[in-house]
Amino acid sequence: MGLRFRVDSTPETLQDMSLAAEERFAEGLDLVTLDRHWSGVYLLGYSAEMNLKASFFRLGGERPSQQVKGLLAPARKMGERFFPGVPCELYHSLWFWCLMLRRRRRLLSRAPDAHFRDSELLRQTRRLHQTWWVEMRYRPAQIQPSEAIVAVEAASWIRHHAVDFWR
Amino acid sequence: MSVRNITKPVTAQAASLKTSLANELGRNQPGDVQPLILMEGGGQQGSKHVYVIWDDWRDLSAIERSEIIMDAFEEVMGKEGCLEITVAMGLTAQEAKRLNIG
Repeated sequence: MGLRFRVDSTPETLQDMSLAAEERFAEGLDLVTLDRHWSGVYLLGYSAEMNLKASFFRLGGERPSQQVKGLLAPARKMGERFFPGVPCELYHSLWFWCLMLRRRRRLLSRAPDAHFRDSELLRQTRRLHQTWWVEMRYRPAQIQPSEAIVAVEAASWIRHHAVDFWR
Repeated sequence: MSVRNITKPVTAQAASLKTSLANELGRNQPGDVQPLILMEGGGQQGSKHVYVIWDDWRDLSAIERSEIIMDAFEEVMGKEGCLEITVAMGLTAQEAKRLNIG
């Protein structure tokens, strides 16, 4: 049985997304440590994207067993309503998910600085958004070591607070 | 400054499914004829899960189905009305049976 069939035979859930975020983070960190900066940053960005997305959905009350595919289009509608000028980049934009998360926290009256500094969420996401975007995979590697460090710092911060975001 | 969304071109099939679904939502009549629209939630927290069981989804990806459902709901309920939907899933009858939905 092929890998694609094995993986796709069960629907992707929020729990899968959180576990995948952990795995991609560890793999990304390994690659950066081995000086494979471009590939490492690519995985670290994915990890951050999944952490922000999963937090946004968990904050909305969705359970870990909820399938992910049915969650994305409603989120995009919400984004079009509140952030019409921010492209969701085919659901991959870190900036989009960061703003959506903050918006939902505000709608649910969650204290902005209860478990993490809201300004830090903006700062770290902005840093990573400048360094990672999903279509970077089509480009040859052209990254400075200092940019890889930024990605490690920002993705680590987001990972560290992934649960705080939806508490 | 004016801000407007760049919308991607909609395929003829997607447009046709959206129109049919929006018409069905507008009619709001109970029955067993597809598309079968199931909704849950919408209580105090206000979030609703919408499932549309329809064999016409067959050739479309899960994301495309979900986007069509949201577009149809937006057409009928308006931009604000559809904000309380947090899950929109399109399933064929066979898929729904497998997931025990419906």
